[in-house]
Amino acid sequence: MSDRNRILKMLAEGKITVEEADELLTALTSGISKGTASSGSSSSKSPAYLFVQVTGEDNVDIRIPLGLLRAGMKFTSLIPAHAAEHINRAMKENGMNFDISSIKPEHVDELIRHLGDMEINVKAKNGENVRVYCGE
Amino acid sequence: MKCPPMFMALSFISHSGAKIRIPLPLFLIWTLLLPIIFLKIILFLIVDFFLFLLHQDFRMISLLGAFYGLLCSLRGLKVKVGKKRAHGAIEIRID
Repeated sequence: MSDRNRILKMLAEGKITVEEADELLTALTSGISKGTASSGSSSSKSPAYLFVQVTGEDNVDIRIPLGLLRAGMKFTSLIPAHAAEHINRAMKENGMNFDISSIKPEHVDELIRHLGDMEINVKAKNGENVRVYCGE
Repeated sequence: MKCPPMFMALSFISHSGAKIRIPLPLFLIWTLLLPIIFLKIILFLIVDFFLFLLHQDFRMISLLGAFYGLLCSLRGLKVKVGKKRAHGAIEIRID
């Protein structure tokens, strides 16, 4: 089943709203056009690891598998309904109107796919460099 | 299907590039823990049966599955720390 059909199926089943489906389809079409514009782009392939590299006086090289994010997602599905309500209420009190139960594995997959484009470079005055990026 | 990490390698790298690698066999720990794991699965299945009778949605076995998934996804983790003044580095790798 293609991604487009999957989104339409989720809409038909009432798992997502019309607005969410519209956003997903827009993201999908923009992703496809980006992929065709630069074939073999990192955005089409989901990265496997998150890399943190610190160079300078101390050298630190960390490779974290992004599968940990997916595995962590399974724990959110174990949160009992009444506990989720408490979390949502606490988050709302702190200015985040967010429903924790609305996070779906598809969302995490999409997030990971888009993390491939992310790169953070920090250059300190003392010559230390910090680089955070996702890749294979 | 992914399986839990089987080795944890501890490496000491000198400034010249010489590397001492100590593989720690994690599979031995899993083998030793196997009877406890089986016991836990059986216990969780019994608890789940009672939870089902009590019309509860929560399943203990899914918690075990989630922990297993978390353990499996640890494969590939690598931490390397080196100090210029100490002329060496330590690397921990889970495979």
